[in-house]
Amino acid sequence: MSFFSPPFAVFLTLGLLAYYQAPASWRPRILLGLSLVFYVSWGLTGALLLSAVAVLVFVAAILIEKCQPEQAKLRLTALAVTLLSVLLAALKFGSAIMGLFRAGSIAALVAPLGLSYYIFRTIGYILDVYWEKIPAQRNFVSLALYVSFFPQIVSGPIQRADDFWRQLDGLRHRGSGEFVEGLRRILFGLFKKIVIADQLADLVAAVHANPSKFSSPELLLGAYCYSFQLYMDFSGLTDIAIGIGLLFGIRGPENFDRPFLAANIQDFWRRWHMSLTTWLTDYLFLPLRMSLRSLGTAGLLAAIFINMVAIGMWHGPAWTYLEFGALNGVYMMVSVLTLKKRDAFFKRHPGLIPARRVAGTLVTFHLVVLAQVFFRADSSRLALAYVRGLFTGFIHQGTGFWRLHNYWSQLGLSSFRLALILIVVVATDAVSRRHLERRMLGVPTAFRWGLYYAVIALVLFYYKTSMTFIYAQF
Amino acid sequence: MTRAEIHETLTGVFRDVFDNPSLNISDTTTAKDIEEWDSIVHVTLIVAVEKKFGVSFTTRDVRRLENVGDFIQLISSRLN
Amino acid sequence: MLNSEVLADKRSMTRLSLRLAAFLLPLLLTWAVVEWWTARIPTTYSTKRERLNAMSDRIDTLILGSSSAYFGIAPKELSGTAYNLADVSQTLYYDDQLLTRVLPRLPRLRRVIIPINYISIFFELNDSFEPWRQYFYEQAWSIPPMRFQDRIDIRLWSRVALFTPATVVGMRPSLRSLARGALILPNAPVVMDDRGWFNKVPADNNPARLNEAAAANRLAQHHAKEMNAAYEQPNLAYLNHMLSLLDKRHIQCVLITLPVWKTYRQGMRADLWSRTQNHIQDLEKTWGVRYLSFLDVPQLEEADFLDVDHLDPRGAIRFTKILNQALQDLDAR
Repeated sequence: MSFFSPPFAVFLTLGLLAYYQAPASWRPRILLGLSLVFYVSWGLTGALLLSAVAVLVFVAAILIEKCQPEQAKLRLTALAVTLLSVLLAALKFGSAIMGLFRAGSIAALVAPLGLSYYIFRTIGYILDVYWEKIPAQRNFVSLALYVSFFPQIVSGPIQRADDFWRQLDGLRHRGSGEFVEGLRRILFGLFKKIVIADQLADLVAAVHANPSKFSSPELLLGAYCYSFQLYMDFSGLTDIAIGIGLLFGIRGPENFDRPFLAANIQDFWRRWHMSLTTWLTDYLFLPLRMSLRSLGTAGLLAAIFINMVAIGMWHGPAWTYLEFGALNGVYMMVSVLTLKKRDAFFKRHPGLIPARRVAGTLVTFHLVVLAQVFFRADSSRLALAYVRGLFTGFIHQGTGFWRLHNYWSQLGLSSFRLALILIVVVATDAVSRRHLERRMLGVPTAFRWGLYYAVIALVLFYYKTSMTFIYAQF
Repeated sequence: MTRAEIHETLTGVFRDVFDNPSLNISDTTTAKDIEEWDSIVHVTLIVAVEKKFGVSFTTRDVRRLENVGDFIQLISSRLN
Repeated sequence: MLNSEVLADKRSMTRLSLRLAAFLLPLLLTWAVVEWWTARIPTTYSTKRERLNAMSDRIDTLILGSSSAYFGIAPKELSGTAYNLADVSQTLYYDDQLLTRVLPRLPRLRRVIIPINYISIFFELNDSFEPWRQYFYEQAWSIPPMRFQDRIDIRLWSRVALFTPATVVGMRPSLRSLARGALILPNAPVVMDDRGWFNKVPADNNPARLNEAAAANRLAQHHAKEMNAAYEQPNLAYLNHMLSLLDKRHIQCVLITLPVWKTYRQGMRADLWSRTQNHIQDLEKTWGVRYLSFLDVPQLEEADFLDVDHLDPRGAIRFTKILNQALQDLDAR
């Protein structure tokens, strides 16, 4: 069941009732039961695979910890990590690779729900045990729950094992504060996804379907809209995931921190999809960098580039994802190489520092928008056509916006609704940041509830069902 | 080397890597406390320390570091 | 956990539940009010039912079927008092259910016209482009959706969910017109005459609407989405049920096929159409019903057709006159 379906609402309500009526010591087990039911609803084979991975990881971690000789420890870890990685790669890229060689039956390999997420969680856990950062988990329920925790299994965030278990231990003392915060997060997450992201989808799809038909300003607008759509969609989904976790008293890690305000590209990647990038930093970049450190700058650049390509490829077997990663790799390499010189320059001209902040943010934003064109494009060819259009489209197609006008008006944006949406957008971004959240709680209840009612109304208004207005002519 | 000596040499390395002659570090300093200290600089720091003290670290060593105090501890154990 | 902790925990949970209830109350109240208000808004389905009831003691001919009949048969052109109970995408399941429900209310009924067109035997509403119409049947006539899984849906009783909140907000009716009971939806003028015939179809003179490409499009839509062999047997069962009901009451049943434009006719798949023809022949033999095929009516011209398989109002009047003549010839024999 998807998060947006009626059966899920029923499942969640019943689950919460059981959770809070039962004795507190049962809570981890109830959560595990709920996660199992949730996962099975997506397919039995996937559930069996998930269970197998949980058992494998449980046993492997304990063995690794118990193992004394360093060589054996390393070999065991390498074996476990390789197995998990191969599983991920095979299920994720298998059908694409087979398609390349036109071998075998392509239909068979479909990646089960949340594979990328739970494989990353388990690899991180095993490596942390190997590096002796955390002790191996001796309680199977706790481990299985970490692997399968249903609010985070669909699309993250990727929580670290020690953080998760610390929360689990504290469950008995959780009050109602998190519950309400969870409801708020879910509400604003729904708003971001349904009222904003889904409404921009048609406009974005139109420009990406046929980029050579549009002028540069139109393509630029389309690119801005996509970046905004992507941010709203993903941060909305994350908000819903974190919110559902909070309903049960478990706080997941944040994924976004006002990414479009980043001062440079390194800063951007510290603010966007944070749980993934920190994971890659700790479990890919750092070990890679350490092993390449004797190669000096070349080693650094290689590690950065590989890391960025990994971020791209993690999203799936498409050339455009590879291009997205590589482009970001180039951005990062250039930025890292020139950072010291840029810093030195601005130290010599301190009056220019505010300008640097503004220019840096704008430049970074546009670099990101450009890279995300590749991320969205349906093929490399279309991506290149889009980029070409961005720079030369005003020659062939003029400078008008009028072709996109009907998408804009479809949004039904009266100035009242627009103002309301903008207010809520500001409020929703405030919700993700803890210190502003506290400020929001200071606002009188009547205003807060009014805001919530407005959000609910907007979500209901913009929720698209498959029905057209009954009097539409056949 | 004593702990104090390690601390002093380490401070020198930090000041060099972060290009800040007046930087000060204590046992409780972490990456969050210094603005330019990100994952890329982190390894640059590690390499600089390895060179300065003539020691070698493993990834496990690096992953277990929580703050500067841990770092000094680690350097000390490697030197002896 | 200490007892005092347990108590404090329970107290905070109770407080929380109360606050949640207080928050939800205005929402639920608003919803209830809007439901009540939208329930008073007439729809095609409720209007058809009301008008049928108003004339139930006079109706002697009942017309069932889908949009081709809803647009194409003008009841006032038939002798006697006819009523058009056809509607868009109305399938044989719904024809059967409606007939079962209204038969007891029509004492004067002596003839029922059941249209069978190219897709009728293979078509089901829940598998079409407009499955939401199932819920209008439920709300107006208490006819449940055919499949069990469609019966667990809030749209069974909620008007707001069925119209969608966006539509409801757009309705903004005036209270005065509500009081008058008029059809007040802003973009839904009165489209039916008082005998249930859809007579306000927008004029369209574009000749391209009837060409080969248009026919090919329509037929492709039928073949790809709307026709499924799995529905053949159930639909026959509904037909047989209707015919048995009518047979018992000695009410004459006439099966007809409504006119289509020649490009559509040329594009129809012969194997599928002959299957339907065979079934009709079987029914003729079993129940003694008569079948009148108007698939090709030479008197009808381009201006009579709205599109390749629907008549426009002018065509409907002309066609119904022809139909009426044919029915009278039937009676004469």
